[in-house]
Amino acid sequence: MRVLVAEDDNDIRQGLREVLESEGYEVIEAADGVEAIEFFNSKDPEVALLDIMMPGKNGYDVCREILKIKPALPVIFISAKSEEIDRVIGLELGADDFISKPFGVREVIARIRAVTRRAFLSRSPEQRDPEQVEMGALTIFPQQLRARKGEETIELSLRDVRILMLLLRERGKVVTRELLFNECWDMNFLPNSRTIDQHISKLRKRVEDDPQNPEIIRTVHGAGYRFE
Amino acid sequence: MTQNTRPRRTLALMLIAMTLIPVALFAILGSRLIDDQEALSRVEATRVFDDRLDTLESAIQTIVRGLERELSRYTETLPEDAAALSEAFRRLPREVDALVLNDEGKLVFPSARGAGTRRETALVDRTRRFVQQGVLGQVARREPVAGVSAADDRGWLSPAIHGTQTFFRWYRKGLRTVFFEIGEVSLASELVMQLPDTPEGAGGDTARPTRTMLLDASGATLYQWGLHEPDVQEAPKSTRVLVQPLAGWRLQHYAPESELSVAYEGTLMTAVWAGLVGLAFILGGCAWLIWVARTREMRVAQQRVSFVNQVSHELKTPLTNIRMYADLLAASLEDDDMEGLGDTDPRQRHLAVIVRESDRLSRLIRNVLNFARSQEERLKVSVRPGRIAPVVEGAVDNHRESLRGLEIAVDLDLSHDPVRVFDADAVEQILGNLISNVEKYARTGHYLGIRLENWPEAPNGQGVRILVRDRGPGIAKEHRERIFEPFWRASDKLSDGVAGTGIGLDIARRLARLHGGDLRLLPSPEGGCLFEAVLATPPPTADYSRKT
Repeated sequence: MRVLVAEDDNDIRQGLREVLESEGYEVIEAADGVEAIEFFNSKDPEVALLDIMMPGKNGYDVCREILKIKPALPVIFISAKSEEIDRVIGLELGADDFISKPFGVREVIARIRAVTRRAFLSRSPEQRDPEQVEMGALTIFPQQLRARKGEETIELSLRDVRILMLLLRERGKVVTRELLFNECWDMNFLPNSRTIDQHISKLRKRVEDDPQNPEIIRTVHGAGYRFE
Repeated sequence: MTQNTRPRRTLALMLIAMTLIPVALFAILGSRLIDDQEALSRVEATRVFDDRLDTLESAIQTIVRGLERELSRYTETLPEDAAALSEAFRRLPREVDALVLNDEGKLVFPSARGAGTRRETALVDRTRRFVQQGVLGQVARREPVAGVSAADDRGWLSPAIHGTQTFFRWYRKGLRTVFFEIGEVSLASELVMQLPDTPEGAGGDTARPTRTMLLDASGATLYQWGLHEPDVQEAPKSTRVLVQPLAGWRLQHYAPESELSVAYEGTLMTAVWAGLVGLAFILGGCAWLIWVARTREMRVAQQRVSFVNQVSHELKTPLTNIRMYADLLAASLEDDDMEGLGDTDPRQRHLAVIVRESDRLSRLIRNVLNFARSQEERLKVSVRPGRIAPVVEGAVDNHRESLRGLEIAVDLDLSHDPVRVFDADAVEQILGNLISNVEKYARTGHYLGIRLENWPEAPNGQGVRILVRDRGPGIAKEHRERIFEPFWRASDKLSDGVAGTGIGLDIARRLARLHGGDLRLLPSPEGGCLFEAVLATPPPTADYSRKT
């Protein structure tokens, strides 16, 4: 899923890129409002994260323009402007959420996952993942970025869902790291095998009853991973 | 910035309207005044012309009356003998032809048989048809004639002889009637002698080109004077029809249009224009001053807002980076935790301090900015449905590390946790300020208790009460209200060296009051401080159906 990040502060923009890429999003960076419009038109993102106070066009103007073209596009404003009127203006323009600076990574992740669920609904039925799938004791709701294990609800990132759906699709077969890399990581983000392993390890901690003896994401030594 | 453009445009339109409308009204009224003055001056000029013609008519009547008196005197000494009449008439001071008829209308003088002077014969020939059966005979016989009654003993008759109007002044003398013939030309000459023969105004008055004409009954001009040459189509500005014996004669006065305006009209036009320009300058000047003052105010206000926004942006941007990169670093350390140190990893603790202090700095900045906004009455609350207990827990979590470090035990009673409509940020700020004060001033009590209750006194009975208690030294009774004043700090030794801006409680109270409630310090017999924050929190309606 492509996310447009329009933010004039380079450090914030790079930080957001890291956060979103770790979640499994493909990030399109724009350093000002004019670039944001240009990249929106050329790269067709599915979600937009817009700073408000930007050079060139401000975030409100960018939001107005892009929602004229794609009214269902989920938009999140991120801004140091946090007065009520700023939020009201943003929401009145059609934005889905408003994150005030300074924000923590968790807050960004929670908000981006929330609008991602909305973005899934905008896809055509053939492009959407199934509503519910079973992987052993785990019930996964791909479009909600959630899973349920017994009574416990587990929040999943976009990449988590991709990994699990890939394993399910290749059930019984070994999913190599290369395949995982190709399917679940963006072309601009080149992980090494350690990164993949770390991610699988963290995912296991959340979805497996015993992460040391996984039932869902099993390791095939020297080859990759497999779901039976 | 576009946000300043609309009010400036509105102000500009208002000021332009305020300037143009009065000027336009003044111009309309001034134009009407000039039109009215022009109409008045026309009336005045026409009256002047009428007066002139009245004077002329009066002069003409004076001449005619004089002639009448002169002729009347002649009749007093006329002999009875017809033969002597010729001599008598020849001796008159005025050369005038006369007829004498008897009461039968027969000609007594001159002789009807033509015996007499050539002049007398010509007179008889001219008037033959008027004598016996004509109007002269009728008057002599006292028969009814238009304009003459039988009792009259004198008068005028003006028949036309050979197309020319001729005037007869008649007098009865016993049984005879004397008719003095006065030709139109002769009479006109008499009058012309008395009428002006130079352009009007010459010799003293400002030369004003007009034309006055004396016309006979047929409309032929007998005499005229004045510099103005009227067009064929030009109508006279004033006409006076003369009375008997000159009935049908008239005086007509012509004047060009420019003569109808009075001297002061030019002055009036100048005055109106001067007033218009002056008014436009004055109003335009006032509008300019208002524009300058108002736009300066707007600019200053905008600068203040911009300053607050700019400060907000400038402070929050580096804070965002500090917080976000601390989180990313913590995640990275977690990924790299080969030794399984977890939270005991000193680097994680270092990062936790960075995160905590950046949160604290964030709260400080928020307080200062809210205070700045509150001074300009821009502080507002934005309500949404939700549960209050998680917000209270979140506020405590923000201080968890520092509370733990100060060994302050936290006791939460959040069993009262309805879904209500409220501003979570405002509640978090109120609690944040109260908890900060416990850390700063009541740490020695090593206790923080927070309890959620219903607030039955709220409007419509829908509200929450948040009680925050500590076991610190408490606050003296005389300071209970002063602690809510911005910048006020208790002056006892306990506060010496304590960090803080002194605006936290002021902000917290303002937020509580914006929320339809209040923040109070309640008496606490058991010691310490007991703060009560009450907030009006209605239950969600159908409009608030979305998830929190």
